[in-house]
Amino acid sequence: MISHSTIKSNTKALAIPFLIVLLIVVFIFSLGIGALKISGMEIIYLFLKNMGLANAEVEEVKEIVLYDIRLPRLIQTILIGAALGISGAALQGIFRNPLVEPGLIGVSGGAAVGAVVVIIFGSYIALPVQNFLGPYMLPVFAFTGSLIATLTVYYIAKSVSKTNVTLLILAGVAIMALCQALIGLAIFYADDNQIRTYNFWILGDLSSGNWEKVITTAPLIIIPVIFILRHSKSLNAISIGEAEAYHMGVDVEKVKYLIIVLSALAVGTAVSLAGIIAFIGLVIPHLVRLAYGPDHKIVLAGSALGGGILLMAADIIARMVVTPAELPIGIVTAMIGTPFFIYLLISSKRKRLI
Amino acid sequence: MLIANNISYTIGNKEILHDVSFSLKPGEFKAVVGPNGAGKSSLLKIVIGENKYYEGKVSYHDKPLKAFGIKEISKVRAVLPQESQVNFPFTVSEIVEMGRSTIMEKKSQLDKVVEEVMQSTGIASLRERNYHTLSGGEKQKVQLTRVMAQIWDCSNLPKFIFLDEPTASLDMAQQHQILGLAKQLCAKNVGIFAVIHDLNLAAQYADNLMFMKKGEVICQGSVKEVMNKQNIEKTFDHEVTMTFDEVNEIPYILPKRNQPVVNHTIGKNLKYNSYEQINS
Repeated sequence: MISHSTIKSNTKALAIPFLIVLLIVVFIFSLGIGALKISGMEIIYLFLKNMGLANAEVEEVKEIVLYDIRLPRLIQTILIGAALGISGAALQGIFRNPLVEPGLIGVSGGAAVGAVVVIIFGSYIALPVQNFLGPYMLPVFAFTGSLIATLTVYYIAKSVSKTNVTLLILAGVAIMALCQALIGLAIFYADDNQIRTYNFWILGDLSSGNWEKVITTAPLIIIPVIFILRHSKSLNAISIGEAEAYHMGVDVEKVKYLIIVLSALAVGTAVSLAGIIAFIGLVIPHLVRLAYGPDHKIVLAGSALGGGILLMAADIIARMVVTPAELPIGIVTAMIGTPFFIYLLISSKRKRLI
Repeated sequence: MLIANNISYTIGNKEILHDVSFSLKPGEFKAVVGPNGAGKSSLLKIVIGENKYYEGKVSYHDKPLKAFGIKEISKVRAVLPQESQVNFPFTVSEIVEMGRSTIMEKKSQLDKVVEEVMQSTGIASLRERNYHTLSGGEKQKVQLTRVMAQIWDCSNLPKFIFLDEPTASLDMAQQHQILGLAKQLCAKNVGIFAVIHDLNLAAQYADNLMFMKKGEVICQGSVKEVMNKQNIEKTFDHEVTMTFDEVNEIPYILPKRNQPVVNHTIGKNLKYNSYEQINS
């Protein structure tokens, strides 16, 4: 007889391998979709050919589309999804609240201000700075913006011994409003072309992915993801109380600052790549928790993988609905994410999970 | 041994604690009693290292508290708060496991410790239950188990557990279960320091009592020495009758009922007073 606990620990043990397989399946499926269809077999042949393992006959145009357009775009999509998913999970952990989302507490808004400054006023920024930062200028400004916004929200919400969540959400609302005002101000000075770029970007736009962007920004997402993964035990301890975690030997303040800085870096980079993509950071940790329980050892890694999967899936929809044109990805995630989140709220309330 | 010498603590101009000294031996159960605002919880926060802005000296095993790191002190003392707010639906065994958050050990060793501790507090059957579905008493038992897991088998030094009003929101049977479990730990050479509101409850489990009022120690000593009418009335400003609990062989107090007082002077100054109208 298999006891209930064995079943549960088995599903927990299989969570990460399952999500990795799912990620690969969605990845290959997504690679084939678009104006030019490429079948799953052709994709596998092309990969094998590239590794020198097979001599397949696939049209050259397919090879170009696959390697130069779809592959960088999808890798970028996975990176952004992972950044948003894991940041959402980690921020929910340190603020001890399942309603926190990078977009909700100003992380994304601050990043957007930083990025808009570069998009519109980039040419006014001192040349030495431009030369020094090179391709990193956009991510660095976005990161700085999101760090300032998040720390401001955090300090407003922080009281003597704990973080007040109502204050946190309200401070987030205030900072988001300020960010929107600053963005509006910047738009006022922008020309038509810049406004068009901005419009696509503010609703989320994955179409601009290319190898150069992927290679320069990948470390800015992968490094924070790895460091956040190392704090699963501390986040577990913090979820039963900051004082309790401190008593158990966790340096709570240090963990909080680290998580805020790392999340700001990951989300700032994600926003600089593709604009504001809402709800991934909110919905994904919920889904992982519903499926595998609240243990951060699984919630963090699962949210990184799940974020990649969900964003790729949303991207498939964005590309298919209005082919050959493309919907901004942020619209798709919000359209799917909002009703789903409301459903989650209601069902969690019933199950006393919140 | 835990030694606290001449602890004073001031916020602004208000003196919260004044010259408090006490010691706690391994295996000793010490309860702190006193009215609200006596500084009991403030004292607890200082000796566990949560509040560092105090005057005086605290040391564990002859090492000053201020020389301990956060992780290091967590291997010597553990703390059970009045109530913990768990925001995610963790299972009971996951909560207990958190007590080992900062201890590096193999998964097999971790599972062994968690199982042992849960057996010792009798919550092993709740293992897979969602914490949110437990009763108040069960929750507190799980938290106590977590606190015990933290200091279970982690070094050879004697350990201390601090309980901050651990029974405040529990019913009678639950109160006795929690304090009974704490008392069992004394037999394993763990020192217990508990802030307890109910004097009779404190006297039933503690070896020694410490009476506090307005930030000062009124008296401290064994239950038989200090649990008397004079000390209690001085500390609580309330009249009590002393009896003796023959079953447990400890002093027992019966607080005097507060008689309703009719204040005639107030009544007479009012123009239309129902009391006067009725009695005239």
